Amino acid sequence: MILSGTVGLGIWYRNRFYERVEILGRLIEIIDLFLSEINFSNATMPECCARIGIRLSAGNAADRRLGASLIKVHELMSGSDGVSFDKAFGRTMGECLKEFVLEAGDIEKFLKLSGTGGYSDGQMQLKALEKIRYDLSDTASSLKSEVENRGRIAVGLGAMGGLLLVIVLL
Amino acid sequence: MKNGQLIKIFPQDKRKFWESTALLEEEIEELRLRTGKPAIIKSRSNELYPDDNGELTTDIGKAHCVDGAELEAILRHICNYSIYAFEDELRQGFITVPGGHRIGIAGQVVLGEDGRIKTIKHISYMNIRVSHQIRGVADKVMQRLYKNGRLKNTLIISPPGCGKTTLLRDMIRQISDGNIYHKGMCVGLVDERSEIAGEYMGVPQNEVGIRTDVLDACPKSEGMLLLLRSMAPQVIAVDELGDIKDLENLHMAMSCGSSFVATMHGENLEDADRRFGRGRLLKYELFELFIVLDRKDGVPRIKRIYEKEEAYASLGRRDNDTFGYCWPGNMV
Repeated sequence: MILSGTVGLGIWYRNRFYERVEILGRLIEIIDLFLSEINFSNATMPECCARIGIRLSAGNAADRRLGASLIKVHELMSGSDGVSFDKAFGRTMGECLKEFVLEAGDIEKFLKLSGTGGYSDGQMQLKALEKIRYDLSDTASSLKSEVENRGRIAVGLGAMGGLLLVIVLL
Repeated sequence: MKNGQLIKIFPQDKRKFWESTALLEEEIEELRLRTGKPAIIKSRSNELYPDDNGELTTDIGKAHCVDGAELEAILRHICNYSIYAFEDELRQGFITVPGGHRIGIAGQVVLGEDGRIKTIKHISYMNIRVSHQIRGVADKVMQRLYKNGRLKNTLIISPPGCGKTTLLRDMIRQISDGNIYHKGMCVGLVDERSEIAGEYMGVPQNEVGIRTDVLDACPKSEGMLLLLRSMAPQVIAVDELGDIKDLENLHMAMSCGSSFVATMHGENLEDADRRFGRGRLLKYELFELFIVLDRKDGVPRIKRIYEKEEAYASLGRRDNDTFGYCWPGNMV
């Protein structure tokens, strides 16, 4: 029982690595959608949030959560309070992303989106988003190459820890 | 203007200051903001100035002077913190916000390699023109619009600030919804500057009628042809005809059987004829009804309505006759 518990713990840690890779991939896709909306239909940032949010609402649980938060950003911007995009996006998405298996650095990179709306030039706006995408992709790529090893280490450590515990208790 | 719209122009941290001004939104025609100069609120009856606490005063000596940071904050807010999405509008020198209110901007122009305006930077001047939908302002002209069961091709001629867009909006609404003179008609509206329907994310903020289809932010010539091809309008409405090309496009589109309602800048018939190139109005004979607007004692009014024969006969002669007031509360 102890062994299965510690191995299970190791598997749980391994799954967290995979989840982080998956969520990072999701965030990169969201940025791709922002790029598409801006490039094709010259949408404002709140409009992008609304449209992407609606699209994500049809996906899995994680997508729906992200989608709901993006829609909330749009609602805050459309509301009567006059809140700025950086505040609306930073607060709403910041709270949402804490529920996922992401590191503080991942969240910080994504939230840089909130500071990009001030460019007068559409091309510069796209470049700013592409830079954020690049940073997230870089993190995701490094993680992908390591995730198998880290996963094996986590499970292995879990198993060995469990064995050690059994031996000590015996 | 719907209640609570004016305050939305300002970012969150500026709203407390502009609260007193926003309470007068039904009266306000313009807000003039200039860097380093007093903020000026132009209502129908007089000029007011917010003091440093935002309270309104008639003493210009106590007026609050706007600084560059405030203007920049307002610009970022009205652009939804996405200035890049308003590149075209900045190039044209104005931004239309939800509700159809037009915010004119001025500053330092940046020219492209072709010598055309690329953008405006260091924006130091803003003119917030508040749009007001006045229902019933077209009541006096509706009877004259119809002949033999169809709408006459109508041109509204007006100097700036005399209510041609307000009149056009109410005419469209009444033509579309139907009135005591005629049942409702399908109207196709080419709202190039987003002022008439004041669409925001596809939803008209002003009432333009239940049978009206709106092409928002679309150039007139493309818009007319698009509507004719796809929406089968009985009436097409366009705002601010500018030159002979617009007239030629109208002529082409008119051959498809729709009636037209259009507006243009001008003091009178002669001025309109001059803008198109002398004799062109007569040559094309597109319009059957001309409505000329002006202001008297600061109040917009219909100066004169010309039927087709009368208009073409009078071109070249000055005409000072008046028709009377048309705005509710100012009937003569």
